[in-house]
Amino acid sequence: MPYYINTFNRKYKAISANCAWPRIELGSTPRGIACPGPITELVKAYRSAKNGDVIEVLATDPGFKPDVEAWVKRTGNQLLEFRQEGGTYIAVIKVTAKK
Amino acid sequence: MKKRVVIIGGGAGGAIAANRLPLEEFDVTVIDSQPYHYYWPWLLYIAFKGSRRPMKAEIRSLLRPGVNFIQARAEAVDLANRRVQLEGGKAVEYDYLIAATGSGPNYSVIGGLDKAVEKYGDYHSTEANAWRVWDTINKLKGGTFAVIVGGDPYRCPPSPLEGVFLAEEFFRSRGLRDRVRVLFASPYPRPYPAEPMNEVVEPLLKERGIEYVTFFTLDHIDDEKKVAVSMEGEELKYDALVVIPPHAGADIKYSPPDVLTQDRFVQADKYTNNIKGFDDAFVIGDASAVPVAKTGVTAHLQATVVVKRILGEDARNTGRTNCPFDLGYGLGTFVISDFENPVVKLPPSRFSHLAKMAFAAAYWDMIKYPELWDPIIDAYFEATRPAKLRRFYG
Ligand SMILES: Cc1cc2nc3c(=O)[nH]c(=O)nc-3n(C[C@H](O)[C@H](O)[C@H](O)COP(=O)(O)OP(=O)(O)OC[C@H]3O[C@@H](n4cnc5c(N)ncnc54)[C@H](O)[C@@H]3O)c2cc1C
Repeated sequence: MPYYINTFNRKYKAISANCAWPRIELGSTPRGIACPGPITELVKAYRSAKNGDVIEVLATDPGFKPDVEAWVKRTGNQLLEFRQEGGTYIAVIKVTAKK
Repeated sequence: MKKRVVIIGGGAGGAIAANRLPLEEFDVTVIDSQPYHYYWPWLLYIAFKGSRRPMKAEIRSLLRPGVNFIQARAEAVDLANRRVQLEGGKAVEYDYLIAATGSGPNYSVIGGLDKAVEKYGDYHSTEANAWRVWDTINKLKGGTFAVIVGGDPYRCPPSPLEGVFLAEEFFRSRGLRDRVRVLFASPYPRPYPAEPMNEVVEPLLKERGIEYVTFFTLDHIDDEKKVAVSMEGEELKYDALVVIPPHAGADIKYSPPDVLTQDRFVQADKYTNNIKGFDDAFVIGDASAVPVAKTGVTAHLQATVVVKRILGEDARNTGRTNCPFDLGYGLGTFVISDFENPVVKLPPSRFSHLAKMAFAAAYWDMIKYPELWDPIIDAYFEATRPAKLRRFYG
């Protein structure tokens, strides 16, 4: 499972289909269990990103929303969009806060 | 003719697999670049307790008689032609391959980290570096001792916080707790990334006066100014620091190359450990990109499944983890979960700590005689099934 795909050189896609520690199967995620997987993948993509880059994170855990909101607030990056497509939660983040 | 099974790596996963394969049916060869099998969890007790207990044993001494051992570094694996290229030009052919090459720190990801490790040590690489941590904490008489998670993946999810708890206990036992501030920083939303376990851990951090910073993505270390700097330019001041380094897989060339992820982990089916696209090649333990925690228990269980599959059974992984978590002061818990169940909120107890120590004492025996320990391990895993525990602990 690729944790991120570098498309167009400057756009990242962090895919987290499930939860790290544990990562659990699609569909069986109890609602509200905040799982670290998506944030872990986001941080990995963020490490290699530059200001102006866009990171798209896909997650199946509803707990991802408060976590990603807290992350952008704390780090000063921008959440361009958060949407839900079926059971998938998609966050689109613009990297703006890197020094 | 017997089928040839080649196992690269004589660590937790590789040694168990080698000792489980019936030698009447298989010609089993273990390849390792160096002579020792390391019991890695012990780095923690060197670093924070100065433990002199031996943490390594010769691989040869752990393998059953009849298993071949070649001490050489594997340089390349040709999956289509079933060949492992060794350093020095020799090659070995196989009918089945088990890659069990573990993982290790990748210091290059974080600026200044190699120098910081030279100076303060760490507990995710070598015995020498773990002893450096022991020196560091013994020398520190005041100021800030920082433990920082450098990034994912790393071995054993609880290990960063285990270091924090043991360091705090150390400074308190030396009567220095009012002068040494213990600080933990991580890139994640909570001190322990999985919420249920965090509910056990966060109150303990507060109770013991351990400070923590979340969402801190370490960019570089400036040891002249004694600051750890985040990607957003936030600075954490320290007097001594230990970083949990992001890990990478072994430096082996695979063909086809697309079985590897960017950080050199081998992609595989999470239920069968088959390397992507190959039914005669497997990867187990830390070397795999399978989304499960990098623990010895995982390597052990996967080795068992892979051996069964080579024997023709349709065995599958449950994704079970069982990571002991030292909380300091003789207390412990376990991180227990599987593919179907998230981490259980298992409260701290003396029993969990004792279980970790009992396991450490029995470790070498379990590697040598896996089949003798099966009934005990099976009974333990049955008694602690996450679905069962969740009914008690939520
Ligand atoms: C501080 C710490 C605490 C831990 N605590 C726990 C715990 O409490 N419980 C738990 O279950 N796990 C724990 N772990 C994790 C556990 O140690 C590992 O998950 C386990 O060792 C993985 O086994 P492995 O066989 O995949 O790799 P390893 O045991 O690392 O073995 C890999 C082997 O491959 C060899 N190798 C590598 N590259 C090559 C090559 N190119 N050619 C030939 N040979 C090669 C290496 O020399 C090595 O011998 C901890 C780890 C650390 C660092």
